[in-house]
This record gives sequence, C-alpha cells and structure tokens, in this order.
Amino acid sequence: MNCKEFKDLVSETTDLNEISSNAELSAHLKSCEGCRVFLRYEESLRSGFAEIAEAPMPSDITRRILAIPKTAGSSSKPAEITGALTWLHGLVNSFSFKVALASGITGFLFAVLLLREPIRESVGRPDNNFARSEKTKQLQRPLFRSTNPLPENSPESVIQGVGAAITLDPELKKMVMANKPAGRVAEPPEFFKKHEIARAPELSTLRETEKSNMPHEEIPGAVSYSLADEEAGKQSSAEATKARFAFPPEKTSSPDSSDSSNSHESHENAFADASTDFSTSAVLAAAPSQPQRENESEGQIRMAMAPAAPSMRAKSFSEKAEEILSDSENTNSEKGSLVEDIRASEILKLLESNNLADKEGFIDLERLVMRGFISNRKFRAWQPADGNSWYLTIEDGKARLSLRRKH
Amino acid sequence: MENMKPEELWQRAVAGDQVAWQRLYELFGTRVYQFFLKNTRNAELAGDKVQEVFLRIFKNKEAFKYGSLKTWIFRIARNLLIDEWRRSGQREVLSDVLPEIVDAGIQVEESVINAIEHQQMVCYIDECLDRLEEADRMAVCLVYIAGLSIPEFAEVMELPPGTAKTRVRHARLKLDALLSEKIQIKRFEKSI
Repeated sequence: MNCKEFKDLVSETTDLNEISSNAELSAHLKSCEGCRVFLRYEESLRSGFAEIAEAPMPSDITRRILAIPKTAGSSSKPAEITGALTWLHGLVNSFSFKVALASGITGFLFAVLLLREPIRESVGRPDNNFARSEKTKQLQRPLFRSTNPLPENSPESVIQGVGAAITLDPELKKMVMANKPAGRVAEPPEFFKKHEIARAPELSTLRETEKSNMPHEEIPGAVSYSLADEEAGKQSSAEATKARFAFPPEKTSSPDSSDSSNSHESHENAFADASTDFSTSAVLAAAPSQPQRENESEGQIRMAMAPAAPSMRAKSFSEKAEEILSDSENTNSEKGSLVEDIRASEILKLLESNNLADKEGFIDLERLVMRGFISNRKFRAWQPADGNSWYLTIEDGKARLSLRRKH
Repeated sequence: MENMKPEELWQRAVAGDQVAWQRLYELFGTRVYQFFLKNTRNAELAGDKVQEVFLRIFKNKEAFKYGSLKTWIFRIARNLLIDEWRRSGQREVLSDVLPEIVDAGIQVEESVINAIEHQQMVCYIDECLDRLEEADRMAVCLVYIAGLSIPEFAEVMELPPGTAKTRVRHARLKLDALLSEKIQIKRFEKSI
C-alpha cells in the first residue's frame, strides 16, 4: 500500500477506529511518517466536525420539533385522503396525463373553431337576421289551409308563386307575401284593391272539373285567393278570378270544400298558424269559442280566429281587415284604398314618431330600412305597387301620405 | 429504543410514539440543524429549515417506504437548501464539472498538529467552511457533519457513486488546503 491509497482509504472511512484493526494499514503507518501525520490530522479534523455536529441547537427549535406530532398530527389528513392525493398528484404530473390534457384542449378548441357559425349578416342591417328567422319560422309551421270554393265550370286564373309565403305581420298587422327563392313580394292589399293579383294564364287554368280530382289537395304554407269576378255577380262565377299562391314542397287536404261552392266572391285565407287563424273563407274551421261570422253572400269575408290564438297581434289586424273588408257596401277599390290608408297611417306614424315627417317629398323606404327604422318585412309590406311611391305632403302643419308615381 | 434502527423509530414516531420521535430528533436534529447553519450562516433560517424537514418526514408517511431514513432526511434537507439558495438568487451550485485540484497534502509536522487544541480545530474548520464554495461546503457538511458515507452521499445528491466520490474528494482537498494554510499561520505565529 502506498501513501495515496492510504490517504484515500482514510478519507473515505467513516470510522477511523477501523484503521487500527486493519493490519495492512497499520503496517504502512509504522513505516510512513507522513501518513501518521495525515492520520493525526484526520483524527483532529473528524473530532472537530463531530464537535460541530453535536453542538446543541436553540431550545425553542427543539421544542417546536418535538411538538410536531401533537400539532401536525391533529391536523394531518387521514391516510386514505393522503393516499388519494398522492395518487392524484402522480397522475397529474404524469406525462401521459399532460399529453391527454393537451390533446383534449387542442381538440376542443379545434372543434369550436370548426363549428362556430360565421356571421354573414352585416351589422348595419339589424333587421336581416330578424327577417330571416321570421321567414324560417313561417316555413316551418303550417301556414295556410286553402279550399277550393269555385263552382263548376268557372274559368279561373291561377297564379302560382313558387315558394311563396303569406303571413301576418304581427307588428304591422299587414299581410306580407314573400317569395322564397327570389324574395319576390306580393302584397295582399293589391288583391283587395284590384281584385286580382295578376293574370297568369300560361301557368295553368284549372276548371272545377279538373280540380275535382284534387279538390282536397292543398298545399301547406300556401294561400289561395279565390277572387270571383265582381262584375259577373252570378252563381256560375264564370268570370271569377282565382289567385292562388301555392308552395311546392308539400300538399295537404282542405278541411272542407263543400261549402265553398256557393261563394261567388270570396277571399280564402285559411291560416293554420298556431297563433293566428285568419280566414276569409266560408269554409274555414273555427273554434267554437271564438267569434265567427259567416256570410254566404257575395263579398262577405268571414273571420275566424283560431282557438289558440287570441293574441293581440292577429286581433288588431283582423279588426282592421274586418272593418274594411266585411263591409259589403264597400267596393273592392274602396277596400283597397282603405288598406292603403292603413299603411299610410302607419308609415306616417313612424315618420312622426322619429321626427322624419318634416319635409315634403317621396319617402325612401329603402333608406328607412338601411337606417334601421323599419324592418325588411315592414319594407315589403309598405312598399307600394310598381311605379308608385309614398309621397309626404304637409298641409297646414299636418302631414299626409299619398301614393304618387315617381318619375 | 436505543438499539432501534432509525427506520423503525420513524415508523413508531409517525404512529404517535413521542419517545421514538424524540429519539429521532436526537439522532438527526442537531446534524440537520448544523448542516443548514453552516450552509446558510443564519441561525433562525436554519431553525426553520430543520423544523420543515422534521415536519415533512412526519407528514409524508407515504413518501418513505424503503431505503435509509438518514439519506431521506438529508435529501429533504439538501432540496430545501437548494430551494433557499435559488430563492436568495444564488447561482446553481450543483454543476458536475469540477476543476482539477492538485493534492498538495498536509505540509505540517505532526508536532504542530498535535499542538492544535481541539477547540482551535473547530474554529479552523468553521472558518474554512465559510471560504468553501457552496457545492464543496455542502459535500463536506453532508459527509463530515451529517456523517454520510460516500454511497449515501451519492444517493442524497442523486449522483453516480464515482461522481459522488470525486465531488467529496474535490471538496476535501480544498478544505485541506485551507486548513493547511491556517495551520501554517499558527505554526509561524508559534515560531515567533
């Protein structure tokens, strides 16, 4: 053994007393003075460290440490909870858990991004969403029931508006016709005013004989305006004009078509809306509890309110319509004028309420839509026939609306 | 109780045996305290840290299942010390790269060493520990104050045995150099 090995061994030994028991080390010590000095130094050093290690610590620390079982023991958690927490801690710290958590969060965010519906409508057109949702509602619910009131051998003009819908504007008490594909608008007041919507002989002219095969085939969400020619005034209704707006998606049967045969001039609107049931047909089923007037004579319009729909919206409209249309003394042109008056009064009311009725001139309804004063549905309801525009005149401080042709 | 292993004492202590707990404190309390005191030079902080160590070994019953209780205790102490160093902004002290140190040996005669009083040696050690770098001081404290063997030191420091042995030797050479310097000065003073 050389001196280096001796020193290394001594340095690594925790108990120096073991050296004296080692014969090889003892033999080297006897022959090597330097190693004896080193061993003496090592013993002095070890005793010094032992002195340091055994130095007493402050009594308050001793007291605190000895009190740990009493203080910590009372507040220590049960072994089950501690075990569960340890397990949970290990789970959370595990790599697989972190990977799974990161994947889950990433997937969720990706799904949110994918499924998020983009905003297609401009903010500047606040009523578009409303109009779209209303249109969706109209298409979802069964809107109209239509009957076939025409007598036999009566020539008819049938106009079919594909995808058209007619409904009540609950706020404006207007009838709004909305063509689904092209957004074409047909206005019910025009029916009342002109007694016909349009002539469309090219579409189809159905005679009663032909219709007898499908008298009960009616289209949900469709309205049939069966307008007999007032001039004829005959039971045969040879000149009767029937305007029918039909929706292609599906068909239903008319609840009753037998009573319609003697209706010469009738407006048939069977609204099967859950909230509004407005019927101008003689054959509409009506709730027993609702006021119902039936009139078999020409020019009579019967109003039938659905039992589940005593709402003020339909009531207001029906009241106005009833007021105008049920009056058999009114001619059709007079009825149309009255409806126009209703529209004019409502437009005027809107203008006055927004301090817009201060200047004479044509009313730009499109501008009112763009500025958010009216909805698209109101716009469609209030828009007059082609070529005409609402004109505001102020006479003696009183505003008045009339229809004029805009050049 | 006197002949019980530390692990058995701990099992009884955490089960509520206050005597076993006191015995554990006698075995390790002052050593842990001195380990913190020599490495922080702050008696109050050392007291808090040693209390933290004993609190952990009492509360974390599930953390220790096998092995040496002594190495577990000083691993906790070592981790707390490193946390404290980091908190106080000290640099990382656990680098594995150690500079080469030449073993100059003890250049003092036996008579001089014999002439050094025990208490004088304690003061020398204390002063030299202060002049050691943190890693060396920690190694010296763990081996010579805590009483860990080289394998136990390796376990506490989470080092391979060879690396641990090198680290201890490195620290010891530096300590020897500092002590030799102190003793030479003492010898010079005596000669005067």
